Amino acid sequence: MTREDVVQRIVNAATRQLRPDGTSYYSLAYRDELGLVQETGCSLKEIQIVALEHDLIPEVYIRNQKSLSSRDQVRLLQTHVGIIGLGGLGGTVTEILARIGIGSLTLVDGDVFEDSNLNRQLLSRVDNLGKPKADAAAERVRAINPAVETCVHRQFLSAENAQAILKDVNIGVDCLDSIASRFILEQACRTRQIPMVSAAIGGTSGQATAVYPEDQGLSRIYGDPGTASPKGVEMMLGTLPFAAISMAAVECAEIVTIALGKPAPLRNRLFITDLTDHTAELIDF
Amino acid sequence: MHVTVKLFAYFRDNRFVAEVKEYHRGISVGEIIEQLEINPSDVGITMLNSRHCRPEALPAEGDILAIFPVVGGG
Repeated sequence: MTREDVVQRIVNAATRQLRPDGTSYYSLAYRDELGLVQETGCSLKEIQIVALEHDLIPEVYIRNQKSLSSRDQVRLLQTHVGIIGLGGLGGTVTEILARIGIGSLTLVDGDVFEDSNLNRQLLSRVDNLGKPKADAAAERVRAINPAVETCVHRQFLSAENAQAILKDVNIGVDCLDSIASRFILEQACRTRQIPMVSAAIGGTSGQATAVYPEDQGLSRIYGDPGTASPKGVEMMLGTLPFAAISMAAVECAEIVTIALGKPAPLRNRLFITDLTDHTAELIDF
Repeated sequence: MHVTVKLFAYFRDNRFVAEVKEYHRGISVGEIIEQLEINPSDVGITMLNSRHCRPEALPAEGDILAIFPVVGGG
């Protein structure tokens, strides 16, 4: 089947709809996308990209508009994000990025779920305790948005495996839970010459920043990698669900901005918030 | 001189959220942390007037100093 044939079939499947603001658009229903996959042999993601290039909007993304244009949505579908750590931050980052339509996700965690994860880790359930977090993440992505392709690594990121894991990734996301491993990811992103979005939580507090390869990055926050504390306030105060979920949301907003080719608002800045009293600070480095 | 000191997270416990403090001129951020009986190794970021600063930094009259703990969880 030629590309023209594929386009024609997508056009035929689209129907005119109205947005809540009264403006009209051509919509592609999810059910019809599945039919087009069968008919054309294209992947779901390919169908969605071709549709968006012709301003036919997959209905699953309609509420992303008009904050995101069809062109923006194509860029997101062509972006590959590596989520390193699939716990409190990473589980929610996975959920949000799959829903907004980031086209490829590399999912990295060597851990399995345990009881103590249930308070905040959206991927953990009483019926998957003992199961790998990376598998649960891939399952969740398939259940939410099957157009998103996943690459699963049931291993912890290390200096040895980082380059192989991040091979095709455009943006790295630090959802790790130790300061030492954050530095390993930062170095790997620097070597790959890709930006990294980083967040950390402890108690009801959280912080987030964006690091580009040429930036000083995490050593401004944690000090020299050789002398930095291995863990922080979370050892004493635990990690509360609303801190994890809100900082994951901050990371995702930054990832989408970077994926769209816009300047990263948290570059050379640290956003710090405490949800006990809803105070926040934006620190310039 | 007067410096507004803002504390975050558990640094507030048994201390304060924000207070205007009187210090002698030439006192460093690190010395202020010591006077507040905060363990320096628990301190992550210090900020003077919304800019990152080092423990050696010397606050001036009217400055706002914010002290944040190390946060590393996920």
